[in-house]
Amino acid sequence: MESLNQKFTFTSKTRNLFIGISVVGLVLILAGLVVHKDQYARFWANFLLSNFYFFAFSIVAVSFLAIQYLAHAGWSAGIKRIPEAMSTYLPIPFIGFLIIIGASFMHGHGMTALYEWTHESIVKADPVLTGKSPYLNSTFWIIRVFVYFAIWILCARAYRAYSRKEDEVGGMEYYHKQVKLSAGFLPAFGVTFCLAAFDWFMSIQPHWYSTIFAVNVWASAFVGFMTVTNITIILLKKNNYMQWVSENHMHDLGKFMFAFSVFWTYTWLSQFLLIWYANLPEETPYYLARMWGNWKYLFFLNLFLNFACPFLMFMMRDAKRTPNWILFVGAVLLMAKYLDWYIIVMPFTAGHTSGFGLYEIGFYMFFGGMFCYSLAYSLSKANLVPTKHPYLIESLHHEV
Amino acid sequence: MSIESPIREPLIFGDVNLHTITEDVCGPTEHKPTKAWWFGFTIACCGFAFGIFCFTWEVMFGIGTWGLNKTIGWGFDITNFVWWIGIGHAGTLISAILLLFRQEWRNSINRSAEAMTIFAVMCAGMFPIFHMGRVWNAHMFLPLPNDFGPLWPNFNSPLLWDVFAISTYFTVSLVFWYTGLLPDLASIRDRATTKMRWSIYNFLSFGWTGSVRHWNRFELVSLILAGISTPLVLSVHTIVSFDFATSVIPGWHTTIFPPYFVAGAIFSGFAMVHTLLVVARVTMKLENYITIGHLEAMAKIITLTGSMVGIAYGTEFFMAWYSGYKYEQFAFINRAFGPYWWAYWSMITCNVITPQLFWFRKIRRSPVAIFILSIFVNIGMWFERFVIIVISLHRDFLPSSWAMYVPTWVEAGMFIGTIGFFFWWFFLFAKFFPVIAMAEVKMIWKKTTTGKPAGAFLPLQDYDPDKAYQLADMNNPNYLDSAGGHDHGHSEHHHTEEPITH
Repeated sequence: MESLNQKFTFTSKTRNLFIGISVVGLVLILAGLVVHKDQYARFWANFLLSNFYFFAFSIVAVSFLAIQYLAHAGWSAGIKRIPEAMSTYLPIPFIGFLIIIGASFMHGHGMTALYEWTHESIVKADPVLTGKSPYLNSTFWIIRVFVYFAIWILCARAYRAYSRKEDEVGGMEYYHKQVKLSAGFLPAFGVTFCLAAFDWFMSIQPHWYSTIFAVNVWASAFVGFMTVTNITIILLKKNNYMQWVSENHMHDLGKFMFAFSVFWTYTWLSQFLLIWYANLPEETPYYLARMWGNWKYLFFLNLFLNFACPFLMFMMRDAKRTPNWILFVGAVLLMAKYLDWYIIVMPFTAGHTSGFGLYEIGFYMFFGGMFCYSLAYSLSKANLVPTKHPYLIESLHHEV
Repeated sequence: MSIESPIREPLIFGDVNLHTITEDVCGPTEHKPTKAWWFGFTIACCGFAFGIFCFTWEVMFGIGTWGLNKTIGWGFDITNFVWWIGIGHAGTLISAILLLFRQEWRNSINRSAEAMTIFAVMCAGMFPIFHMGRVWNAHMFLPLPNDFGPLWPNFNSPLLWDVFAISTYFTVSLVFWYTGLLPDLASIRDRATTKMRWSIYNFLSFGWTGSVRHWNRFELVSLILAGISTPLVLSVHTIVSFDFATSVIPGWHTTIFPPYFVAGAIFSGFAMVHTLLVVARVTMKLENYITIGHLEAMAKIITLTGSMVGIAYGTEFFMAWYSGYKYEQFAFINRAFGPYWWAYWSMITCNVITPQLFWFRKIRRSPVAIFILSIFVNIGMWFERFVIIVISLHRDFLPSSWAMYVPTWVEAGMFIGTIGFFFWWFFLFAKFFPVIAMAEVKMIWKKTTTGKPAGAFLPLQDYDPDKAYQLADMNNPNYLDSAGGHDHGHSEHHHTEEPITH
C-alpha cells in the first residue's frame, strides 16, 4: 500500500484557476452593475443566494463530521479530511453577511433590499408584521448572525484542530474529544440551522410560514455537500491522490446523494401537499407566486432536476460506482440545488427583474472560486488522511 | 472480508461458538415454559379477555358507550391507534433501514422487533375498525365493486390512504419477518425429537433444505423486501400524520408533521423494543447476543429521535407565535396552560426531558435505567397523541362548542385489551419461535469476535475502547501495516465449529 502520509500540492496552476474564476465572477458582477442598472434587489438577492449556497455545503460538512463521530462510523474515516477542509470556508460567508449588514445603511441595499420587515413604515402599517417584530427586527437578526457563525466557526475550527493534533500524538484522547464536541455541536446545529433558514430565506416572505421549511433547506444542503465531497474525491483520485479511496467509498457517498434526494422530495412534498390540500389563505401565497406565470416552468423543472434525475440516474448500483457518471450526476445536482434555492429567494426579492444574467453567473463564480480555493488550500495544509484515527483501518479496507 | 477496528465493541460476548448460538436460541422452544412465562402469559390472557369483553360491549351498544362528543370526535380510539402504529415502526426500521446502513447490531434484535411490529400493527388496526361502530361493514373501506353506484371509498381522504398504507405495511412486514424465519425454523425442525414437532416445523419452514438455491433466493428476496420496506416504513406514519395535517384545525395543520411523526414513531418503537428486550435478554439468557452495546445503540437512536421530536415541538410552538394566526397561537397556549395542561407537561417531561439522561454513557449502559426510561418514553408518546388529538379538538372555533373529554371504562378496557393482545402474541412468539435471527448472528460471529483483544471486553458490562486500543497496540507506528492480518483471524481462539445445518 502506498504511504498514507500524503499531502495535496496546491499548484500555482490550480491556484490561478480558482482565483481566475473569482476574478471573472467579479468582472461579470461589475458588468452587471452597468447592464442590470438599478436592479439593486436582484443584486442583493444573488449575493445572498450564492453566499448561502456555498455556506450551506460547508456547514453541513461540520454536521457530517459530528454524525460520523456519534455514530461510530468507520467507513468515512479515510475521507474525513475533505469535509474538514470544506468547513474552513465558513468565515467567508460570515464576511458575506457582514457586507449585507453593512450595506443596509444605504437605503435599498443589503438587508433593506431583501427583507420587507426591515422597513419600519411597512411594519407599523401591518399588524401581522408588528406581531413578528420582536423576532423579525434588524438588531436581533444581526445578533443572530453573529451567534450562529460564532458557534459554527468555533466548532469547525475545533474539529480540525483536534483531528490534526491526533495525527501527531495518536491515542484515544482526541477521538474522545471529538465525540464530546459532536454531542454538543449536533443539537446546537439543529437549532441554529433551522433558525438561520427561517431568518435568511423564509423571512423574505415575512407573512408566510412553514414548519418544515428548514428541514427542506437542510436536505438540499446535505445532498449538495455529499455531491461536492464525492466530486472532490474523484478529482483527487484522477490526480493520483488518495488511491486507497475506492469506488466503495464513492458508492456510499452516492447512496447518500440518492437517499437524501429522495428525502428532499419527501420534505418538498410534505410542504407542498399539505399547503395545497388545506388551501389556507395564510399559506398559499408562497405557491401562488411560484406555480403560475413564468415561474411555473422553473417550479416543475426543480422537481425534475432534484428528484427525477438523481432517482433515475443513480438508482443502479453501477451508476454509483462509475466516477465519470458520478461527475455528471453531481453536476446536475449542483445545478438543481442552485435552482431549488433560486426559487425560494428570487420571486419576492428580484421579482419581475429576476432572470439568469450577469449577476447570477457572476456571483456564483465569485463565491464558487473562493470556495474551491479555500477547499484546496486547506487540503494542502494537512495530511490527506487522518493517520491515527482509530477507525481508519475500517475505512482503508472498506467494502460494500 | 471487511476488517473491524479493535476498538469497535464486539456484538457477541462470552464463550460463544456456532453450536452454542443454536443451543441458546432453539433451547427455549424445546423446553417446557418457565413459571415466569406462565405468569406473564396468564396476565396477558386476562387483559386480552377483558379487551374482548369491552370490544363486544362496544359493538352491542354502539359508540355511545365511549366518552366522545360532538366536539371531540376522536379520543382514546385514535390516540391508541397512532400509539400502536408508532410502536410498530421500530421493527421495519431495524430490518430495512439499519440493513442499508450496514448496522450489524441489528442482527440480534431484528427478529423480535419485527414480531413486535406485526403485533403492534394488529392492535392499531382494531381501533379505526371498531370506531366505525358497525364493524360488519368494515369491507366498505375497500374499493370493492358494488351494485349501489360509485365506489364507497373517498379517495381524497387521507383516512382511506391510511387503509392502503397500513395494510401494505402489515403485509410486507409479515412477509419480511416470515422469510427471515425460514432457515431458523428449519434449524428447530432438524433438532426435533418427535415426529409431530418435526412435521409442524417442517411445514412452518416451507420444507427448507438449506440448498444453495434456497439461500440464494432467500438473500435476493430479503434484499428486495428491504428495498420495498424502506419507503414503506416512512410512508405509513407520514400518511397517519396526513390524517391530521391535511385538515385546517389549529394544532393539526402544520407542514412538519410528516417527518416529525416518523421520528416520533421510531422513538416510541425503540422504547418498546427496549422495554421488551431488557427483560427478555435476562429471562431467556440471551445477554451474550443482546449485549449492553446493543442496548446502548438503541438508546442513542432514542436520544436522536427524541431530540428531533423535541425540536419539532419547539418549531411548532415558535411557528404558532410567528405565524400571527391567532387561532394557532391560542391552540398552543391552550396546550400548555389550558385544562389539559397535565397531559402536555407529561408529554414534555417524558419525551424531551427524561431521554436526555441518555447523554450519559453510564445511564445508556445500565439495563435498569434503560428500562425505566423506556417506560417513560412509552407513556410520553401516548400523551403526545392525546395532546395532539384531544387538546386540539376540545376548544372549537365557537366557544359554545367547547367541551371536555373523559374516557369511559369501555375505552380504557379496549386499550388494556390491546395491550393484553400484544403481549399474548409476544409470549407465544417467544415460546415457539426463535427470538434471535440465528442464521444472521452466525454470519457476523466470526467477524465481530476475531482480532479483538479479549481482555478489553470482559466482564460484560465494562467494555472499554481505550483498553482495547492499548491491547491492540494501535499506537504502534506500524499498526496499520500489520493490522491487515486481522481479517484472517487468530484461529487458535476459535472453538470447534459445528457443521452448519441451517
